Amino acid sequence: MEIVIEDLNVIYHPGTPFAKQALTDINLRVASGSFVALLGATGSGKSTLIQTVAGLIKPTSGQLRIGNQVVTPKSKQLSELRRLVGVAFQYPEHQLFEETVAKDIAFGPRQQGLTEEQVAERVEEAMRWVGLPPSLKDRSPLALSGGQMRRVAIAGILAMRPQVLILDEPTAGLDPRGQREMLDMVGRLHREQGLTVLLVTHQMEEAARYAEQLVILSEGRIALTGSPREVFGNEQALSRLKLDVPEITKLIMALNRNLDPPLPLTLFSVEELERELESRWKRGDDR
Amino acid sequence: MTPVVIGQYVPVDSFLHRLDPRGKLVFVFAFMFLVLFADRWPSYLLLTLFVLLAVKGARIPLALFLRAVKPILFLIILTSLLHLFTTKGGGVLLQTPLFSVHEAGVEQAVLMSLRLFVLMATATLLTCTTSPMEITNAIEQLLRPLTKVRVPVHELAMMMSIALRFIPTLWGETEKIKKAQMARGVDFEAGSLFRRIMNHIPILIPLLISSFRRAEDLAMAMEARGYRGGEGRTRWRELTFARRDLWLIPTAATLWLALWYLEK
Amino acid sequence: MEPILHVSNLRFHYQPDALSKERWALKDIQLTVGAGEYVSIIGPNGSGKSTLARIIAGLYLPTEGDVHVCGRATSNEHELWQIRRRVGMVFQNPDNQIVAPTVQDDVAFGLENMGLPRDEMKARVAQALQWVGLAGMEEREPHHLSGGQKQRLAIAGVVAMQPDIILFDESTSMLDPQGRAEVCQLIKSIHERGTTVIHITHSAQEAFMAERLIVMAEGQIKLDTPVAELYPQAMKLKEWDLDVPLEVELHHRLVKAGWPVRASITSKEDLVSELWRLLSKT
Repeated sequence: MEIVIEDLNVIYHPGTPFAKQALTDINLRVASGSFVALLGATGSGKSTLIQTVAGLIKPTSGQLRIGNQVVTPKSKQLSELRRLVGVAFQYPEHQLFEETVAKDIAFGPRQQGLTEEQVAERVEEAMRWVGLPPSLKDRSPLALSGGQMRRVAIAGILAMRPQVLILDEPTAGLDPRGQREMLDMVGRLHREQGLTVLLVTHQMEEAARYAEQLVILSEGRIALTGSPREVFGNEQALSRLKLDVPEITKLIMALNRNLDPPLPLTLFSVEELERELESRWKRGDDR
Repeated sequence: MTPVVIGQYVPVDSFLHRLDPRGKLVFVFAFMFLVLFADRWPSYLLLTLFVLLAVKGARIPLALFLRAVKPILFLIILTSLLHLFTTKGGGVLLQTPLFSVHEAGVEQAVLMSLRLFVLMATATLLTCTTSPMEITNAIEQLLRPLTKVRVPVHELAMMMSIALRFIPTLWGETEKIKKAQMARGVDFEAGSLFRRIMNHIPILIPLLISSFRRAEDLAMAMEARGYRGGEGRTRWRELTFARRDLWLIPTAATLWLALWYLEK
Repeated sequence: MEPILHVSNLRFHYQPDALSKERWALKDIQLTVGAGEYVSIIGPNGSGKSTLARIIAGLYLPTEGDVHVCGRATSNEHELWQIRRRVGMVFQNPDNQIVAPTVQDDVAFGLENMGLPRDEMKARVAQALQWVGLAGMEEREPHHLSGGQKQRLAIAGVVAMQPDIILFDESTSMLDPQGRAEVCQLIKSIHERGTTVIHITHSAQEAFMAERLIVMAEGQIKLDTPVAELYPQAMKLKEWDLDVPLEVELHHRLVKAGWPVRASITSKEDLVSELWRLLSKT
């Protein structure tokens, strides 16, 4: 589902001495079914932006449109918007509270007033989507491993069948294997369910590998946006924003200090880099 | 996004801030006793005047102080209304078929609201000029003699201090979980009172679980840093009486004598 | 180098009284660490690395085998308190290891437990806060600190106790990149001051900062090698589902593709200059 944000400003506690501008003049268009990574240092406004898109914070000015739902500062009801957007905050497993996995996943759909059969169907479907075996259905979510608990939490969100899925650092605290599996799962959901995905991450590797569009926030404003190639190829902007870059980009930059012509900064896998080096080397041989 | 707690510590520098917290604590208790003991107009005027002077001396912005006292305004009004209508005696000032207001009622209402105001203002003044850490410390040191009769004074103080440390953390966590459950479709404002209470279960249970986890982690971290109870422990915060703390004694004595004279 | 830590035939079970002892959290651990070493331990979740750290810190007792820290056995109840003074530990969750309501009170917490006189405490607290870069924040309340600052505060609390060994148990895993960089920098300087450092982490990048790397999986030590000798065998890390640093993987691929790269690469800088050499020869 398409997301369009126009001239959005969010100010916390407006009109008090504690007023704090969290987002300034945000304009952003996210195409339906795309995979967007949201990057930026702590305090850059990422968290405010996703909460606004999720309908948990109202804009102070400007507007937000998701599908045909429009939110302005005057909007009374945000519950319709919340139906369209599912959000998994950091460490979402900390919000689990039911006795069994199935009951916890069913919590959201029940709030939507579905029948018991529909709810059961949603639970089964969501567990399949996140790769949880049906045998875990009646287990206590607290007895599962960290990675599995997180899947239960995400299943609980997917069971509400959102059109837009927001994930706030879904790999935080997992081991490398858990991180890989989590991202592969998100990628699969994006491809197979056609979800529009907004991924908040600190890890440039994740962003470069999975996202089609990067949005970089800095001090509450959008500082840079574009495809991974556009963003990580823009060395000036990167150094101006003091942005962390993927390890591979760091390696290429190190190599480029003594290479003429330099290697392109738009290689994001070790295979690509190897191929590029290989062709360089061969070319040298021919000379 | 921490809530404004009633009587939150206001870190400015004043004579009252610099006083030893033990002295302040004892003085405040003595003063509160005086307030409860006072029963006449002149005594109340004296006590109110004293509190107002103290507020002035504490250099706390008046707006902040009033905001701290505001929550009990409701209580004051309620109590004074109660006294206004229920106390009989003296001439009848107002007679309606439903209720009557007597002279004694008016007097009692005013006295009671003054009493409540002075009590609350004193407590607020204490917490505004003394950091929670100092209060904890003072309580621990004042109660130390009770260790002899096996009251776990050190443990109680440690508990208070840990509570102080974690209240803001848990508050932040509550907000976080609330947001997450709102995103899952819970509407905390809708429905009957029962419904609204039930709606908070998805917040309370995760909060409880996380508090247990924190407690476990913290116990491990404390042990790793060599914590083994109060025995053999030295202290970082040392309280020392200074010359200025002596002022509390003549002040208290004067107030007592004055009250004793006025109430006689 | 005189060993500061000696672990022999260590086994650990969370329910030592259970009838079936199949699920050992740790088995057959042999480990010797010299004073001043910088060791990193990596391994997947559930590999037993945190359990090992807690045993070294004297927080858990071995089910079987011996652990000697600074010449004292952890099995001796009386020595245990001495060991906890000698071994500092920085945990994963920055919030759950800060005990006191203000920064300075928290740094002093361990010193109070040690029973240090107040003058000494004052000096150590000031020094530790200065050292981690939190000087001037003495009165700050911990919930007003960033994640990286909280973790630096935890480090200050440990450093002030002047332990011989400091263990970091996934201390960077909940931090943002800036916080991670700060903590890694501090770990490095702790090592440079001569303190023995054991850093448990998921991150291959961080693990490679150490001098010696230990891989744990299924409760056992699978690999124990100087980092400088790791390049040729680093691809093994994939066997245990661990990440391999990118430059290591590139080196491995180039060797396989028949490039005449040196096998004895020791670091990223080393690889970069080797590639410069090869590419400029033409």
